[in-house]
Amino acid sequence: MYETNEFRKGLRVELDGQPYIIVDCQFVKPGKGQAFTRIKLKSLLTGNVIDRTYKSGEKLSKADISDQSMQFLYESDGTYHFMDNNTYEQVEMTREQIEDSWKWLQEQMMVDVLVYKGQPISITVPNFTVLEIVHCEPGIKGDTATSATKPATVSTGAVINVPLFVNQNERIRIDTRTGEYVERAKS
Amino acid sequence: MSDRPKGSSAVILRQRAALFQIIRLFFHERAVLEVDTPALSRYASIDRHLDPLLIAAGAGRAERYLITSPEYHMKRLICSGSGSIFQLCKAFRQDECGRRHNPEFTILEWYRVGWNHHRLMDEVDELLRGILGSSPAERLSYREVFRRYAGLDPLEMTMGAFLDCCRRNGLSPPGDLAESNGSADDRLDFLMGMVSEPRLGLQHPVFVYDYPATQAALARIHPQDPRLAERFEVFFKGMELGNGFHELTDAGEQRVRFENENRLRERAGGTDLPLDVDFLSALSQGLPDCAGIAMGFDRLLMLRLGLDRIDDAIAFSWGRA
Repeated sequence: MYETNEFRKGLRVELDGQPYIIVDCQFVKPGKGQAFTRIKLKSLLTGNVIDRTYKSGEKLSKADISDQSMQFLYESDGTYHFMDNNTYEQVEMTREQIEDSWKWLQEQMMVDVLVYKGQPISITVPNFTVLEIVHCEPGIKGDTATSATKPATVSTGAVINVPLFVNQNERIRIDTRTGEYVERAKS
Repeated sequence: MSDRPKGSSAVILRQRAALFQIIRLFFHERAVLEVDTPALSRYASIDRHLDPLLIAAGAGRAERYLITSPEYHMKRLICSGSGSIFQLCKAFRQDECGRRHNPEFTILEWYRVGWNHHRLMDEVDELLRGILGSSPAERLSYREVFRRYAGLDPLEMTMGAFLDCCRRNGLSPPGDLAESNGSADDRLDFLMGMVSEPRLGLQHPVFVYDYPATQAALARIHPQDPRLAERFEVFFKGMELGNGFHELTDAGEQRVRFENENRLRERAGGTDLPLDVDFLSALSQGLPDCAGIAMGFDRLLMLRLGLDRIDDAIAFSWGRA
């Protein structure tokens, strides 16, 4: 159990039978009055954000949740398969569960799988990844000054905006948190 | 150093020092005597919602409390004839940590002998205008604040009206607040903190006066209306800056209030605290008629410099101390 004075951003708690992560935490105390802790919680299952307030001294249960490092094996018919390289245990997840992460998944990539009561519920891919451009308009040589961009399709099928000078078949570095182009990968 | 937070930058240190000086000059010009009283005391302030830090000195040695405010010591000085006094000192409150709270913080506390709380509000207003450049403050009774922002009468609030107000403001009442045996003062504190305070003093400072008698703390009961106490708080830009009283001088009533606060502490699952017999004995010798206020120095600095976090106004915040 966590008491209100332990509440902080990033804490994972269980509320109404669901796992949540605290995304905002505010201590409210009117003058000499009763203290409250107001928190915003994001559901780790649905992503919904809710607002709750607690009297000082109230408690929330710790969510039965763990992070497991797993390797992405393959995708088939919208199901994504992962394996724990230590135990060889395999889990599968749907496209909805992994949200936008499908854009960056490549076979053998190591990802963090969030496991709630034994069930995988979401994944986090590395902050940066390198992917090959499989299609884009030809590059404009020497145009490194303008901030104009063009769409490019990478090997996973995701489409991202890249600068005009980048060419098809080049490998680029992407920030997976924002989905933005960072630089050409030094091969 | 690139990881140095804003708070310990040379600019903030100089601004902190300048504010100390401005405040000292303000009181020096008004012939208010600067005093310093103990940080470690044999007794703690007894308040239902303040938890003092207890210093265990080791086997066989008496324990001491870090003060949550210098109020009892300062009033003992007034009882012994000091006249009007002020103090800038550290105070300590367990678990009060957040964007506007640091468990160790700096208090500006002062007392005016022969004044009531309304005259003291005038002086607080002058100080705020001097250090924050604010326009003249507005005065609102506690009832008016609740009528205006919560749409209800705090002295006659029914459970239905409370729950209605929570719903209108998208709030879920925590703990036992929605239960009939929960504390009515907790419900008022909840609405004050969540609904009213963020809207108070957005243009100019606001004094909220005539608190309910059930939240009198160390204030006198209103001579015309026993449901009210001569207590006030000052707010600016949605933040509470200070709490003041027309001070209770009756030793007998003070003892009854201490016992009541201790009962409330126990009911909330806390510990009761020993009664400060030195303070009670000084009161029984006679405390001159006076008004006093405690203000958060760090919050004044936050407002003066436009800082959002108390951490940025002090050299070493709780997590780095």
